Amino acid sequence: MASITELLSRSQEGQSDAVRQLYAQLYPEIKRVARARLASAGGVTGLNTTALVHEGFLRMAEQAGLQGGSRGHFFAYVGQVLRSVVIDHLRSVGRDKRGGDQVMVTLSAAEAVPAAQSSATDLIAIDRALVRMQALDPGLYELLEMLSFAGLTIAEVADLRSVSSRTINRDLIKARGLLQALLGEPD
Amino acid sequence: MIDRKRWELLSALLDEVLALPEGERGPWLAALRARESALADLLEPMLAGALTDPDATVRAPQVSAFQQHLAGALQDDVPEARPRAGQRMGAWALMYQIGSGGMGEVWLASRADGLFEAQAAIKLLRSDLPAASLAARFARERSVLARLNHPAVARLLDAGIVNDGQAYLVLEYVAGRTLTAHARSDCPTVADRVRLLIEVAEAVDHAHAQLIVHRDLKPSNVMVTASGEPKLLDFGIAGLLDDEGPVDTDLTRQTGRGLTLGYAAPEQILGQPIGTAADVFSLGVMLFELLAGELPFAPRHSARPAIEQAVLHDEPKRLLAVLSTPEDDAQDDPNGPGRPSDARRARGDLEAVVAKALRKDPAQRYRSVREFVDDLHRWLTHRPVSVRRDDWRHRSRLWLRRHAVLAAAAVVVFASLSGGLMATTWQWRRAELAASQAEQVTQYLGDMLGSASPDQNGGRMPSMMDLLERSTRDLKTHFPNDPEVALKLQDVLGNTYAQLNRFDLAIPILEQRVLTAIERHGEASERAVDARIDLARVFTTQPVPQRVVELLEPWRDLERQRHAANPDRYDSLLYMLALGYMRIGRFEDAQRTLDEARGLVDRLYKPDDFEYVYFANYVSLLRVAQGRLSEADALLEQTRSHWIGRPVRYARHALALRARSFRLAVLLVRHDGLQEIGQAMLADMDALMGPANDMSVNMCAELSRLAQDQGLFERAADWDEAAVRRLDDAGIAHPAARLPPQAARLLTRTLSHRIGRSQALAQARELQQALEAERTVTGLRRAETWIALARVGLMHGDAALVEPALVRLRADAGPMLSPSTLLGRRTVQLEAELARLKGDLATSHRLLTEVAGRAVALPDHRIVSTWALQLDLVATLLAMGDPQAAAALEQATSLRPPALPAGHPFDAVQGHLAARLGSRPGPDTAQVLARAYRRPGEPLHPALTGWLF
Repeated sequence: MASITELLSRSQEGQSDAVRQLYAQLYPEIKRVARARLASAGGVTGLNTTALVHEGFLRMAEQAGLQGGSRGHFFAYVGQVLRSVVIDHLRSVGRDKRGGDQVMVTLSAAEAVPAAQSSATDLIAIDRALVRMQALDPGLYELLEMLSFAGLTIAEVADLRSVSSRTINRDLIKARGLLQALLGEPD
Repeated sequence: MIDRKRWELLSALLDEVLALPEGERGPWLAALRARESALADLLEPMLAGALTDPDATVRAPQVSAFQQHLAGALQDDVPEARPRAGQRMGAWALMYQIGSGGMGEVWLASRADGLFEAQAAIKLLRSDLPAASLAARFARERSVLARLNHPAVARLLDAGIVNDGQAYLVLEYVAGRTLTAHARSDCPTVADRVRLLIEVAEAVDHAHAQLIVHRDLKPSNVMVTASGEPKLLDFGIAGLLDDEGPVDTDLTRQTGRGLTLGYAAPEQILGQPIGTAADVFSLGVMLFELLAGELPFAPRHSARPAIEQAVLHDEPKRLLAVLSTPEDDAQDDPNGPGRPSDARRARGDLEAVVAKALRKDPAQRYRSVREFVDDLHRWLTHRPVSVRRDDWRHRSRLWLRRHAVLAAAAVVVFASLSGGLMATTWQWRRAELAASQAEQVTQYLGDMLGSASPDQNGGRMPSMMDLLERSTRDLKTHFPNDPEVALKLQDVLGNTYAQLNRFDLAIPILEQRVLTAIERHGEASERAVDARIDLARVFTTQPVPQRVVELLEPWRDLERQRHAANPDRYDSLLYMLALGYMRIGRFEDAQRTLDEARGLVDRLYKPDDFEYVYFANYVSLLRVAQGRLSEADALLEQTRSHWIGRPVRYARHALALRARSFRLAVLLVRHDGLQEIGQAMLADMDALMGPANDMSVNMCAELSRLAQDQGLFERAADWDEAAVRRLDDAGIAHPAARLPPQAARLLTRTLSHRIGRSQALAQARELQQALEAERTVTGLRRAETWIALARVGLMHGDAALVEPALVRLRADAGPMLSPSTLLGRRTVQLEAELARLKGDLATSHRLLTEVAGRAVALPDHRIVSTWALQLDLVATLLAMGDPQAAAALEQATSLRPPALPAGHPFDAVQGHLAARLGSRPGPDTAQVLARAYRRPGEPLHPALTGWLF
């Protein structure tokens, strides 16, 4: 069986068998860790993705012996999985309750960000945009997964990528801009 | 539509503008618009934040309430409806919630099926496992856990899964408070707290004997009832819930569960194999906390990584140091037990006990909870704890190591190389594999044996035999690709069979284990030698002593060279080898081997260690083999002080030694008060092992032999009846257990005329046939059974019964029957009696002269068996009309044990022989004999002495 490091880097290169294997190996684990964390957080309101990273996924990365670049890929993957957990759930709830209507969620960049960015947007649309972004600029894509969904902080990502927080800040502006642009495009 | 090429362009432009100071970005954008207005239109919104608010903190875009959505999605992912009062869980109905924890909610429940009034605590498990696999696991393990029956363990009453997939456990409901709260208010002193923890640890020890490890011991899992009795909760449940997914994907296996850090052992944190040592560690933490009022590694509420770091890498706080700091209110953690009022008492020995329990390396901790408890008892009774002895032993090991061969050094080097801070993936996988093997074995055995030790189950339980037989079949089919698992199972199965005296089954398994070990680890590997020693240990009970020597002699030198690393193995090898030598009559080799063992014991153990008792035991066995019975007896007598006041684990050894001492007293005609001693031993055996255990059935046989030697045949028959009745009462049907006592009973029934001739002979033939077919009766027991049947035949003058019995005896037990042993001489005596019965007086004379000569030459010769042998010789000489009969009779008279009360049946025999010799007139000897043997109305048979011994 290929190591996780190897799978992460091969799926980075777009090898579909690696993507499949990675999914088989990591997806259920990530979900399980998240669920366990949810359980120990004492319910829905206690869950917080930052804690999830620190008390679940960092340990996973350590146990899998992930270093350097593959560590970054791993956390991006975690973000992707958590996002897809939510999307799958929203889709199934939507199907159940509203006959398959899209579920609206809000994308915001917190209080300091102009209203333009917090316009009502479809998480599913975000998902599509992210998939496109992955093809256009994998580095920026991973940055968003890590920061927006896996719950890492900017300092942690800078550390992970061995660059300064300033560089991450700059990349983040670019990533946000690209996402925004992609969201604005018709399908 | 942004394509890759366009994005590359945009990206480069963004890099350019973002490299500018904020104030210059506006003008830059205006300049761009002048050249490329479309690009500028795209870039402007992207730069929005960076243009209008230069001081804005850059934030990642957040999906509002993503965390809540995630939480909701995760929760819905596990179908888990809210439990409500009145809801049925199997035969139980929920009443109200009484708590919640890492595993799920706890509800009080009452019996809903109206069968009886009862309350229980029901744990509703928040499990990540699929319901199907959880159900299968529950079915498999709840019976194991439910067998855990100890007053200080809250019982698992039931476990199941309701339709919606909710898993639940029904546990004995314990009203009380946690250990911590109880200690705080009701256990002010160190001694109070040590006593409390001993009770807890005793229960853990009991569970370990049933192969159940707690894995999550902590004060909140110990409730103390209003009467002050602790009860352990959740035994084995941590294990029940461990995931068992495929190794490679299972990243968080042992650690994902809400493990309570602070009490968990390093190997649990690392996800390594978990055994009883993890519970030892947790008990050590609890003890530390009870003594110091705080935790040994990190403060109670530290963050998880900090606690892990401390448990994995820091030495525990020194109790001494903690206790030296004044306990001010700030330190008094309301969630802790507080410090005992006389905390200073915890210094010294208790500190050493705690330190040993808290070693990082499981192998360095107490080898068992039992040893931990023993040390706490020692401390309570002001005796030195074993840790000090351990230090001493540790020092001598170091000394040995300095003088040891390269192999030991290589081990040290390897250990330091692999002991890195963080396990690499490879190591981690290895550990996972080991854990899964260990778990497979433990689970399997847990299912199979339930309670491992026959000590607690009266030896042979037919149900256990059935299970073992099933598992022996499984061994061949279940683990074909996993030699390590097979090796462990062969080890446990083989040795368990041996403990149950099923040597016929033990031998092939242990032989296979030797082969597996060689194949897997090499001919000269330690594993292979271990396997050989276990096999040899079984062979020592069998009539194949030469196999013991063949098996072990070639490895003696190698083990001597590497014994520093594992002196116990070399010890065992020497003992087994000595047994082998003594059984084949190589007494000098046996003596030399024991001398070497003595050197080892002297170096490794303090003079009061039980090891010296083991050693004395082997020497006494050699003395018995040499016929030096008084010396053997004296050796055992010297160890008598060790038999009492020892921890329970030695109780069986002590009883075995008492039984041997009893046997020697019978042989050496120290019969005064012996019956009472034997009865007391019988009671002790039953108390330790339950009724109808092997040992007490044998003890009945010993008491029968005592009565036979005393000439009290009625009493002897009573004891043999008692032995068989014990087996009946316990429902033990296996012929291996029944045949030997049945044959013994037939003999004493014959001696005491409880059974007529034709009936006795018919029964003897039946038993003979059964024994021939039953190969599971082996070794000494088989020999004794043949002897008993032959004697029944001799008493009734039935050569056709005696002859095949003696032939079989030789065939089955030949190598054990050297004429230098008592058993061998008894066999020759029977063969001589058979020869006389058949009229072959010359053979009878030759055989008896030889063995009587040997017996008389031994240091202890005024004993019943030698007297009987000489009387037998006189009888043959008389039948031959040989003039030496008179001298032989003279000698027989001198061999009469002086301690034997007058009126012994052999006195009548001796008188009868004297009368026939015509040397002295006497009363009607036939009548005397008839009275002595209570055999009214029947003529004396010429084979009279056949039933002497």
